[in-house]
Amino acid sequence: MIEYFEQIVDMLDEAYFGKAAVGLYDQEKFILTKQGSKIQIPHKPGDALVEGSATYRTVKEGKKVTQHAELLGVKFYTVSYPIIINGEVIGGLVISVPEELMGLEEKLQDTSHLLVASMEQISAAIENIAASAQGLAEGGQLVSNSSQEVQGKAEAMEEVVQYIDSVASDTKLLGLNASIEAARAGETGRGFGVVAQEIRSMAVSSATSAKDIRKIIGGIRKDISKMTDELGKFGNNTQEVSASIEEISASIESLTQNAIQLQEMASKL
Amino acid sequence: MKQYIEFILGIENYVIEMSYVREIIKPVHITELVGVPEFVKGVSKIRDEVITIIDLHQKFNIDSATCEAYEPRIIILEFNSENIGLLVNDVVDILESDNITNVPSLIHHGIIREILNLEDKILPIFDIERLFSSDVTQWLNSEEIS
Repeated sequence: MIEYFEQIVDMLDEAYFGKAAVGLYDQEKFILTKQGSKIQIPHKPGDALVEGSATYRTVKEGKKVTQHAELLGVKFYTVSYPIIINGEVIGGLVISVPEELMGLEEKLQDTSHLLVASMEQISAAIENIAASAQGLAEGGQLVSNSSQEVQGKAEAMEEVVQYIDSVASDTKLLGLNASIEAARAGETGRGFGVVAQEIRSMAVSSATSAKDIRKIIGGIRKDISKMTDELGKFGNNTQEVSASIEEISASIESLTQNAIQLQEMASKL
Repeated sequence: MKQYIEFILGIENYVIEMSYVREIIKPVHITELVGVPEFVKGVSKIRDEVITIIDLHQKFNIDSATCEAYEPRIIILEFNSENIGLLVNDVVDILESDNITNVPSLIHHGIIREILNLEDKILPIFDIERLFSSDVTQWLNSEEIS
């Protein structure tokens, strides 16, 4: 009759993922043993039950016996169950499970808790980065607008300078003609000639100033041009960053889903 | 000390005695004339007067394209109550000097006779009499006579 229980041995072996050792015994000896990948029963079919061992006591006392032991550095937990038919102990089942397997569900739960917490932290950090990238992009746009304004002002300045230039040119002409008239007037024109000279000097300095301003404006425009180029590059970079952030977010999202699933599975253990 | 007006014609700087200069003006509309020598650009109305405008570019073989950066002017010259407007590329300044050297009259179609010697440069002097009595004005005079 004990042979009917042989099927259970296989089932138990599978249930513990092959890591536990399972044994079936009758009132005197082992009938079937399945060794575990992590732990072995030091018996084979046909071996007599050892006096004082869990299996022996199960048969003699007719009740479940549990035991903690260590073999070759592996801590394990043994449960021995009697098989009682019509009030008689005909044998029993013994399972030895490595203790690490027992704590596993707790460990799994803790790990998955940590994982979900980490995921949430990372998500928060990603949101921060995304907000910063957005801020950067907006800042960049503002700078771009400002530089366009400056460009416009530089062009307006250019017009003013051109006007100064034309005034200087006319003033020079006026001064020359005044000097000519002064020379024509001879002695009486001498004072006038001095005035004419001054006017000509004014014209020269105005023209020089206009040239200097032109140079400065040219420099400003070059700087703006450079800045606009850099801004263009900057804009591209921020866009790339934003795109990367979106990718990371998607990955985090799917990871979080997996972590939550893991948590649910662990809680059901 | 005599005063001279320094101007640019083509790529060279020249001077002319200021006593012959009546006025310097900005270029005005020049009415072209038919059947005139190429150095006569045309006539212009300046202060209610009609003045002949002379352009010596061709005579001096000057390429007009090189004169872009300057401010062209018309120097109105007066000699023996005759007026000519000389088209120049720019008027530079008024100079004072007494240092004159003679040069052979073969240079510049006879219009240059003397050179003004300055500290840092020498400038050919446009000879007004030559200008007014050369073929430039021969034609003008002949026209007026007839």
